[in-house]
Amino acid sequence: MSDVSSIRAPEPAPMGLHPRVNRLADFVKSHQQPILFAGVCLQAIVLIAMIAIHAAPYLVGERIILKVVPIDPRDFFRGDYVILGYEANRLPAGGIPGIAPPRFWWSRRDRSQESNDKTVYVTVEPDADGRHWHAKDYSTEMPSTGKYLRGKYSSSNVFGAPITYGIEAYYVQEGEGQRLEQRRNSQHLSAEIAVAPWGQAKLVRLIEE
Amino acid sequence: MEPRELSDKQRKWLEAELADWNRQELISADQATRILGLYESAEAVGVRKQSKFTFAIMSLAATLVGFAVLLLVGYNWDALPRAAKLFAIFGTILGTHAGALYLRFVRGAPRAGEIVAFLGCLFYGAGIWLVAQVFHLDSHYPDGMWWWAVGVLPFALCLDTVLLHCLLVALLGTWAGMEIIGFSNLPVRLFWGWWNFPNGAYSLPLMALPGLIWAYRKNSPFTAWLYVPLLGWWIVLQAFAWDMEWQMVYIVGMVGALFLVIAEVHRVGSPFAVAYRFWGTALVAGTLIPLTYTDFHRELYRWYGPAVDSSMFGDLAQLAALVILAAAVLAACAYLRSSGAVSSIPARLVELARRQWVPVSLAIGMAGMLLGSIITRGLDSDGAAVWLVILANVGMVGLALWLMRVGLADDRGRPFIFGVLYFLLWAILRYIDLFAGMGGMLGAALMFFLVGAALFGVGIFWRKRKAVRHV
Repeated sequence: MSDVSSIRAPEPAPMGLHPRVNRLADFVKSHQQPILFAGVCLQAIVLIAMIAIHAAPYLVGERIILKVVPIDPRDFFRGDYVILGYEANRLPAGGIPGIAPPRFWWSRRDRSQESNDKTVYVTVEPDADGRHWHAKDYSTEMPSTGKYLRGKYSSSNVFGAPITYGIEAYYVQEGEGQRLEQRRNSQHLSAEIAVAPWGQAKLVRLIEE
Repeated sequence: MEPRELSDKQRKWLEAELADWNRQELISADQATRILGLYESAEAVGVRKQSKFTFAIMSLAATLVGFAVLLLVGYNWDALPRAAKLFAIFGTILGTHAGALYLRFVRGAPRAGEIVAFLGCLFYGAGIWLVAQVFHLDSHYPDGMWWWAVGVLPFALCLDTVLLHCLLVALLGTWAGMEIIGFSNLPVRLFWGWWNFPNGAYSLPLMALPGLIWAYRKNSPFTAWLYVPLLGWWIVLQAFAWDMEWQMVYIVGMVGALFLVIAEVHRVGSPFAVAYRFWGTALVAGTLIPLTYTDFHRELYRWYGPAVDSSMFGDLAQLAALVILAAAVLAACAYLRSSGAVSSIPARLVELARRQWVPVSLAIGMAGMLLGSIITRGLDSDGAAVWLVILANVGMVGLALWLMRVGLADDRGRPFIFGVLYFLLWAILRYIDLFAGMGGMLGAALMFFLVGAALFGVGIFWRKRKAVRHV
C-alpha cells in the first residue's frame, strides 16, 4: 500500500510574503512583455557599451610600438591567448612615490597591499632606434604633458607584472599561440598600441621582427 | 477549479482507498468519482510527465548549442574579420530573443519560448566574451560574468520555469568566487583619500533575493535548492574577503546553524524547509567533526597563531559583526514565525530560542568557540584546545539527538535516520580516539557489532512506529 504521508496537496507559499513583495511580483507578472523587451535591450546596451568604451583608443588614440619582453618563466600559456610583458610592467628600481614596496610575499597582511589597485601613470618616450617607445617616469599623479599610459598596481603579482595596462593578453586563433610565444621569448616581438589622450591603452596588433 | 497534481503512486493509492471505502459503504460511488475528479486524471499525469521530459531534453540541447557557440567564439577564427564577428553575434542574440518573444506572446508556446530565451541568454554571454576577445580585454575578467548575470536576471524573473534560474545561479556563484578569490580589494574613495575595502561581491544577495522570492511565489522548492547553497557559498567566501580564513570553520558552522533555524521557521512538512535543513545539517555536521579533534585546533594555532600579523581587536570586531548579522537573521526569523500572542521583537526572539534552542545553541556555540580561539590563540595552549574539543563533542551529540527528535516529532524518516547515523559516527570516532589502542581487533569487532545492532534496532523501531501510526 502506498504511503499516506507522501500525499501532499499543493500549498500556498509556506512563508507568507510581505504584501509589498507580492505587489511587486504581481507587477512583474502583469508586465512581462515590456520587462522581457527591456531585458533584450539591456543585453544589447551592455554589449554596445563594452564596444564603445574599448574602441575609443582605436578611434582617437595615437599609435606607438612597445618592445615585448620575456615574462616570468613560472607563468603559463593558456592555449588561446598569448601573455605579453613589457618593460613598463615592472617596478622601477627606485620604486614609485605613493606605492609601498612589497615586503614578505608570504605574509598574510603586508603594507604593500594597501597600494593594490592604485592607478599608476607611466610617461613614455621614443627609443634611440626611433621606432619603439619605452617607459620614462612612473607616478601616481596624472602627468600634465607628454604621452603616458594609465595602469594599475597589484602587489600580489610582484614577480610578474605588478603594473598592468590591459594590454597584457593577445587573443589568437587556437594553435597560433605557441609560435608567438617563442617569438616573444626570443625577443622578436613588438606590440602596436593605441594610446588615448587620457592614457587608456589598447592592443592593435603584434609585430614579428 | 484546476485539477490538482498527483503522482502515479498517489493516484493508485487514492483509487484503491476510495474503492475500499465504497465497499465499506463509507462513501457512495458518486462521491468517490467526485473526489477523484479533484485530481489530475491518469492521462493528464502522463501528458504532464511527457511534457516535462521533452522540456528537459530541449533544455539540455539548448545548453549544448550554447556551449558550442562559446567554443566557436573561443576558437577565434582568424579568417573572419572583427566587424563580421561582432555583427554575427549581435544578429544571433537579437534574432534569438525575437524568436523567443514571438513564440511566447504571438504563438502562445511559452515553454518553447523559454528554451529559445535561454539560448539567447547563452548567446549573450558568448557575445560578452567575443567583445573581450576582439578588444583583447584581460583586466578584471569577473566583470564579464557579472554583466552576463545582470542580463539574465529579468528573464529569470519573468519566465515560468527554473531553467534561467539554473543559469543565473551558476553565473553568480562563479562570479563571486572569481571576484573574491581573485581580487581582494575594492579601492573606495572617502573624503580623506583612497581606502582599500575588502571585495566581498556585495551585489550577489541583491541579485539572488528576487530569485528566492520567485521560488516561494511559484511554489518551486527546486529553485530554493539552487539559491540556498548559493547564499551559503557567498557567506563562506566573505571569510576570504575579510581575511578570516582561519576562522572559516566556525563561520561555516554558524551559517549552517542559521540555515537550520530558517528551516524550522517554515511550516511543518513544507518542502521549502528541506533545502535549508539539508545544507544546514551538512555544514554544521561537517564542521563539528574536525572541531572534535585536539590536533585540528593545534594546527590552527600553529598556522594562524602568534606568527600572524593581525590584532586581536580586529578579530574581535569581525566576530562582533558576525554575531550582529546572525542576530539580525534570528530576529527576522522570529518576526516571520511567531504565534499571534507574542508582539515585541525581544519576546519573539525568546520564543524562537525556546522552540529552536538546539540550532540557536549551535550558532551561539560556534561563536563561543571562535571567541575562545581568538582569546587563546596567542597562548598556544593545549588546555584551551581541550575545552573547545569538549564543546564540539557536545555539539555533535546535541545535533544528532535533535535530528532524531525532529524526525520523531514530524514523522519524517530522513532527519531521524541521519540523526542516528551521526550519533553512531560520533561514537565510532570517539572509540577510535580513546580506546582503539587498548581494544585492538576484538574491541573494534565489538564496536561494529554494537553499531550494527543499534541500526537494526532503529530500523525495527521505525517500522513498528510507522505501522502503528498508519494502520
